[in-house]
Amino acid sequence: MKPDDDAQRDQEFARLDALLDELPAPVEPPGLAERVLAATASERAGQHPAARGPRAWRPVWIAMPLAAAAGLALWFGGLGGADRQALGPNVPSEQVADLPTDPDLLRELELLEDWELLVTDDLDVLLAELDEVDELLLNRPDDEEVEQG
Amino acid sequence: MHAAPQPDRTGAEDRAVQPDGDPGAAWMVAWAAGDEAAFERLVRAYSGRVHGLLTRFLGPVSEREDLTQEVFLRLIRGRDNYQPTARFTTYLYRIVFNLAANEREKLRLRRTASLDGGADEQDGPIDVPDGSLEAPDARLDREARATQVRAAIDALPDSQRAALLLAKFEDLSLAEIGEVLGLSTKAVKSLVHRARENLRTSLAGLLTEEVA
Repeated sequence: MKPDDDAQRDQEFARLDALLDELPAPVEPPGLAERVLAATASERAGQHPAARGPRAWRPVWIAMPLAAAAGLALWFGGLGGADRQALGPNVPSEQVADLPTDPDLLRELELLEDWELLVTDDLDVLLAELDEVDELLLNRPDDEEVEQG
Repeated sequence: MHAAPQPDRTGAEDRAVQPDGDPGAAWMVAWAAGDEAAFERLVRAYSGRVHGLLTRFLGPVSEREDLTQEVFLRLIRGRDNYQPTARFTTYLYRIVFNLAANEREKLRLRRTASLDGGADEQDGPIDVPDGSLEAPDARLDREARATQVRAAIDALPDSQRAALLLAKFEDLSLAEIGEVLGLSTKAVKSLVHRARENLRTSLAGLLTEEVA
């Protein structure tokens, strides 16, 4: 790029920054904070320690549904094939036994996140994630000729 | 880059007790420990910034206030899981951009389906005249330029627009922007660079008339 082009480019970027600085800040609607507080009041009331019960009891309230779930799992595990059929055709024993434990679930979630990155259609994000070497190769001009023997 | 000046929205009492460093993180920790007044301080300090960021990203759509409320509802639901490992604004803005990205997609689908192209989405102009002593012609020119610049920003891909807005108007570092958007610092740098190049192209008429 010629020095004059560089200088012009720098001037244009400086002008762009000035235009962006000139943009007025969005105006906050009057009373916004009060309305947000009012709208979130019921959610906060449900989260309040008093509403949740004393801290000492919290482990009990967490343990009870877990214990119930564990009991159900044991009950299903003890069922024979005919009983399972009675529950419905879609509860094969091997699937119940193979349900992922938490670490397995986490690994699968990580794979899912990587998959979402792979299938993203945001070209800018994909290009931005290229390694430096890959980016150089991508930008290499296709003007190399193969010598004919 | 210089952030556009933001009006001070905190009340006098909040300013008086605001600690140095990261007040938002301190208030979140206090609130999680049971100090309900700390949540009120969070809302008063940050609701304006959240609303402003949503406005810059989505434009003056009617859902902004609902989305602002939703941001704080999500804050409430994540209260027990909050860890002050980064600046509070990084955590807050991550919530904002997740919501904004979903809303942007919904708006896009609605505009595609709508016969009148989404004109009913707008609340009207973002800005209120500042009542300065500026000459009317100069003010009209300034407003026309602002409209053109906003349209150019709106035409950017979502990822570029988000990176540019956070870098330019929220004074976040590249690393912090990366934490908000779930990208590497290198990717953020590239996005900001691309955004500025695209704006330089789309606003060429405005830039060259001033440079010449």
